[in-house]
Amino acid sequence: MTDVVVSVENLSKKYCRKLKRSLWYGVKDLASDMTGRSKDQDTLRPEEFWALRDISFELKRGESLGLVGRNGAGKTTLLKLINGLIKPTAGRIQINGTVGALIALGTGFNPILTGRENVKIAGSVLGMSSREIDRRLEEILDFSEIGEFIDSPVKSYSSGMLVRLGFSVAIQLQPDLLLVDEVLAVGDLHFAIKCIKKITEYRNNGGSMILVSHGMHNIRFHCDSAMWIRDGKIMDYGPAHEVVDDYEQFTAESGMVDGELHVVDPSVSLGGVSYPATVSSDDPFRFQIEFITRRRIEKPIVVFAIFDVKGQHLISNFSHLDGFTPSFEVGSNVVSVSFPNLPLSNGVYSISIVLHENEIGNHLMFCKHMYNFKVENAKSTFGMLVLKSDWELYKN
Amino acid sequence: MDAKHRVTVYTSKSPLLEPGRLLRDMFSDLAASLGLTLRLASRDVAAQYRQTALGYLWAILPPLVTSLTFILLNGSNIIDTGVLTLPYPVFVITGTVFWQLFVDALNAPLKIVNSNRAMLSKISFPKEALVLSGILQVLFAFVFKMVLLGLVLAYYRIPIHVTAVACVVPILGLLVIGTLIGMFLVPIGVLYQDVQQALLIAASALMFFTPVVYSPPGEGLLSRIVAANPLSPFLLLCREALYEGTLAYLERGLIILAAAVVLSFAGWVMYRVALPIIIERMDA
Repeated sequence: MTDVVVSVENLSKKYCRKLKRSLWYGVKDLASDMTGRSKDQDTLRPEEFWALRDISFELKRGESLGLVGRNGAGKTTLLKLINGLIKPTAGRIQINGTVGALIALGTGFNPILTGRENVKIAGSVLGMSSREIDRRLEEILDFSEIGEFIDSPVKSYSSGMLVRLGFSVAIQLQPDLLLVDEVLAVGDLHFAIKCIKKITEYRNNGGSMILVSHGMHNIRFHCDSAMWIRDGKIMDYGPAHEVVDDYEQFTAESGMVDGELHVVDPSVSLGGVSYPATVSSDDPFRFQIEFITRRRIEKPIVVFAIFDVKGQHLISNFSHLDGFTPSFEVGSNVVSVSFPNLPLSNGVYSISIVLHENEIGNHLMFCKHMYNFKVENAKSTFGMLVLKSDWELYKN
Repeated sequence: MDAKHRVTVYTSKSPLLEPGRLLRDMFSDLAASLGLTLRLASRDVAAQYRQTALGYLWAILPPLVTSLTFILLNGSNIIDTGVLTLPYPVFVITGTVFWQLFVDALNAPLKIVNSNRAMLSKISFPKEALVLSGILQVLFAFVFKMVLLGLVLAYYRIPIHVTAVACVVPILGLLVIGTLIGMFLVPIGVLYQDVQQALLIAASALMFFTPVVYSPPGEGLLSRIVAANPLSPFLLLCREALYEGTLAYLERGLIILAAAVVLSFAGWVMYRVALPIIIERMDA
């Protein structure tokens, strides 16, 4: 028996942008499949684009691969192809063994039926026999921590409960290859830790995994190798920490989130910006931004906010609350905000700036996620923040 | 085959080019889908009847309403139903109960694929289970329709003959032909919503070219259409087997059933080949 679990050779997949045309192409593809004429295609029809282009890799038994890249880069498409849900346009996938997936947990749940009934259905859908389900039912219910709600219709569940229940069923299988799409952070923190434990257990038992995640620490922690996909093509493929480093470097330099400038009052425009692209969590941080105004602004209020890659709002500093109350004259006004340090964990962050006049809510301009920077060399990479601390030992 | 040693290959080539592998996959998926079929069917039945006030009555309402309409029309002599040896209500309820079996089977594949789009595009499971669970649900509803028929027969004190066991042939025939056409329409029907709409109209039109609410006329255009309609023998067979003790249409029914079984294999192949292509366009 070969020790390669999955091998992907020159895999390509094309999609169509327009719905009507896509449907018509579907009819044509169907006709060529039904007459046995379909083969590898190398050209695009009008309105088509490559969702994946020429992807090759191999994953050995017990190894894990992380897929990183922006939304729409093709990561989920790759998982769908490996899961056999859709057909390649060109290339070949070979899987030696069974495949399981932790994707879209809770799909197929019927809202009217109870949690217990849905668990049985979900188990069947994933290929468990009735006996297997009955045998593991208690374990599944236990793990999900749904408690007495298990006999209520799932339409009364919170989204976190649905995902917890879905995860508890799906993780029961021990496939040779597990496909995981951004589900490591399901439910609350307590449950997320349980999930990570479960996945580590699966890996320790020799299971292979392909993990899609925007949480770079997940990729670093769980994966041996990683692949960075950009616009359907492999940008980088190698040891997980190297690829993640490259990816973070790139996103910090180029702007990982789609920045968005929205000018409400046309008498204000944006000038230059300066700030360090990379800092350590101990370094001082200074951000400088230039507003060009065509009229005098009596009481400008500048808001400086930091977000992480998942879009979580970490801090907001309001200029007027810090006692900074200048006025903007016609022409260039450079505002600078400094921090003794940014106690953030390693990773990529984005900065948003909002300019108000006189009071909060009277917007002149938004710069959403326009500026990115990277934090390196934090002492600890667990948790979001790195705070200075003093430790002491007392003896009685 | 031992699951641990299973090798799966996905390429762009048509699965028809490797018929051996296709057949093996088809039957192994069929075997794997039996447990799931029961679960899906009981899920849908439970969900459907838990959120309706009339519950299982919905299984018999369509044939009941059609029957009552025609009983009313017949009572006012608006329609000519041909020569009947039975009370008209018994005649028409028998016809519509069996006809509704065909219509349900016709609609089932597309309906069930459409209502499980999310699952199809996200989870890998034997897709045969969907169609099979659709068939099970149709049969489940048919049991209630038979109860309705039984009550009507008891009321009119109509005895049934031993030959009634031959009704298995029309039941299977209507079920298989309905499912077969329904399966052929799945690929196009999933891509284009028009198909589901057209199906409703086509089914109600088709009813008038099948001896459901009237006895086939001896001559004329309609009689030639009815004679050519492959569904006609099944309707005629179930009535004669139930009430007259004859099996004149048995042979024709069996031949058509056999042909339908063979064709439904082609429908199955088409369904399998089509699904990966339509799943990709589903979430488009």
